[in-house]
Amino acid sequence: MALRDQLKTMVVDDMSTSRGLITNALDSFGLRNVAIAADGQSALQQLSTNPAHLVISDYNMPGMDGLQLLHALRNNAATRNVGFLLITGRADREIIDHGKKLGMNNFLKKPFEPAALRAAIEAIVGRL
Amino acid sequence: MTREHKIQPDAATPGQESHVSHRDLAHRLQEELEFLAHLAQQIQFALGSALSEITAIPPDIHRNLQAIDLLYQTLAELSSVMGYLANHVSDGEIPAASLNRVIRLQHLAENLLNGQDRQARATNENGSISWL
Repeated sequence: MALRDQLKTMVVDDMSTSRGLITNALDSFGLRNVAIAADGQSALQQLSTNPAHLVISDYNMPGMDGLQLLHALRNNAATRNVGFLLITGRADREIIDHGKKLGMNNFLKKPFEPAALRAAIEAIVGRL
Repeated sequence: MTREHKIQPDAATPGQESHVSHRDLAHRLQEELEFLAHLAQQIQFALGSALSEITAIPPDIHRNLQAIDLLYQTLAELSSVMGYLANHVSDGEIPAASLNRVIRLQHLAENLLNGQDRQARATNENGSISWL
């Protein structure tokens, strides 16, 4: 069975257009097992009962931002090892460095094309 | 969402120019930005729903569609900043006629100035938005 058939992915973004674009791209890669959350708290709740291999999260979200979500994931035994891809409109060195310290696996700057998203995912999980 | 903050420029007596206070202008601009952010959010919701029905999005369109999120977030942020400014700007006023000369959207000028100094603007009756 190919990796793409097994991979469980969660997309976390408060913007419905971004969520739609990301899930549309994932679908075009053959990734069908995709969960969606509109904010960090909802993502944590879903992941506690339905773990994923990879979380693709926006940085700029109300309440809990992407790096706060990453911090929470890394401090929970059940989600400590999940792959984490941060998507951000501001690829500031400060944000990236902070993300790396927290255990971010990769990041992608908006706007991006589907090929860039695929490359960022494959850098974490391997060839799809 | 409605825009209710009507500004009344100082009534100009003959020979005097009417003015709009900085505070009122900032309030009105904040409401305009808030309204535009709301419109951008509606477009964003509509696009989000439509995207689930589309099977393949060309890469360049995929890239360009991401701008709607930035548009919404920026308008909401600017609205917030303008609201802060409206509550902290010092007293002062600006001549309504000079404001008219820099506003290109007819509806915006009318909202800001509440119909005052219309003679300062050229008008176009075609369409809901008129450009000078």
